Amino acid sequence: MVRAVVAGVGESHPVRASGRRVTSHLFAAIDAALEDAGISATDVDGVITEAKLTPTALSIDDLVPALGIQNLRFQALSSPVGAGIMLAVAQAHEAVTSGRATHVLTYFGVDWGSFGSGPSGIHGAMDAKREVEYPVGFGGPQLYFATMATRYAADFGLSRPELEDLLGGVAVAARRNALRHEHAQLRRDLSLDEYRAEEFFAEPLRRSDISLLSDGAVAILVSAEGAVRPERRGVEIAAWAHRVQSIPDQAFYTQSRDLPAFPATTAVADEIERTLGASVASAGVLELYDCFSVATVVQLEALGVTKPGQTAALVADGALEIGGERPTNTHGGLLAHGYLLGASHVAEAVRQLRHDAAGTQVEGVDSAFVGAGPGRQYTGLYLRRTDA
Amino acid sequence: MPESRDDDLYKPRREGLENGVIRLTRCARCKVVEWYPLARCVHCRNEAWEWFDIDPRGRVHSWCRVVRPTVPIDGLEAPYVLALIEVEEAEGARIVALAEDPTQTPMVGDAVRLTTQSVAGAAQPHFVLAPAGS
Repeated sequence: MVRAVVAGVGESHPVRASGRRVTSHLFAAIDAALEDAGISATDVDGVITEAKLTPTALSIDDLVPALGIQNLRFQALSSPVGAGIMLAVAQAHEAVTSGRATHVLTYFGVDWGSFGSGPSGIHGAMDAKREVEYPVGFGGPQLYFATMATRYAADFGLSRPELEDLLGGVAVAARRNALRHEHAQLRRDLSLDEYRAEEFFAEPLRRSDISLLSDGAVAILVSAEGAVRPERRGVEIAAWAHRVQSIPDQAFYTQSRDLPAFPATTAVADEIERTLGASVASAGVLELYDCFSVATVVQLEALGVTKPGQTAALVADGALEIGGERPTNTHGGLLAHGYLLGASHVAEAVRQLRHDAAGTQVEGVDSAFVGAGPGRQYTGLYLRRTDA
Repeated sequence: MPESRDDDLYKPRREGLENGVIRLTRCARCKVVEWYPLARCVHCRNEAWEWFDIDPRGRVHSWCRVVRPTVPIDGLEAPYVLALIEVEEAEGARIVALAEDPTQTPMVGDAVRLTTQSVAGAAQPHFVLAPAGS
């Protein structure tokens, strides 16, 4: 079996409104990833991308001739949005280790900061949501996660002030981490008191509990170890897993009987541990899909990093910050670095493991877990230094 | 109850709401409640769904108070309270409903009665807290 490495990372860093179309960000990110890996577009023989947004943003059919790829041997669409971005990288790993391709390019970008309706547009296109939820004003992810947070507090006996401290603690950590990242979109400190003074958007969520909107793109190149220069052989995907709960996307946030638990996320953690022989909690940094502050909380618990209902103590200690005991979303995540739906999480993890993070380096880190869903589907990547 | 038609699946629901009843879907053959309807009944493989009227009693699964609306609705002034109401008799299916009284703060587990009220010219599910012991 061929050993696969994450050989190239390229980013068009997130900004609120660039006025540039997503294709412009995508080509910038892809060019940067190829340059980073030290290969040319003609070396690329596999392309895999996310299945829902990318086919209309920049299809593989349009990408291949625009890059001048001459020998495409492998292509695939993974699954929708965040979990699909991670799954594309995992599938690239499989394509390389099986010998089906030597250099597999994955890419993802959005221009929701400048154009379009953002995530509410995706959710509003589902028929049950359009018929049943939107006419009463129950529109989009913000309200799903607001109701989820309330249910979480009720299930675990948290008072309103305790819930506020928990969510605020996650938001503050994301902002503190972003403050150190030279390319984060929101580099402004936030104190817990400032958080508490913010008005609600959808009680119990405030502005700082809610993901940014961004323009930007990320490209990740997975290559056969022997096909790249030695200094790009340093990071590999040691394990990965993907799970889907058997419920339609449009029904999950209102009808899943398991809410506020995330069975697909837990199943991914279990499979990582089974295949790797090490738990998700053993990773030196965690980069988790934090569309809302509460999403970080439920993921930490679903992944087994904290016990159900017990995340508050960890958050109160500042553990999620760089220098804390459990550095999480070291670039600031979707809450403060930018809303590239998890693609930047992968880029940040690779840079952490190269010991080349942009102001956010966690000292001596040799493993990282990156996860996205979180909800009906989930994908987790456990990345490791090849010298670890 | 008429079976749903692919071209306007939710029409019986809208007609029910205009008559003060809330309807959900169940399998036309094995009668298992599936809300929202699936592409096919997972239990008996039947592809047709029928609508039935629910008992309007339920419990608050969770709720939120919307201060900044994410979708603009004519005549619906923020802040308003939305809840997911779990209907035990409908196998735990949840109804998204507006609080008739937007100043109320519900609690998870509160008993409620579902009603219908007009929003932007169409009847929609609402709820009121049920008196204790009801």
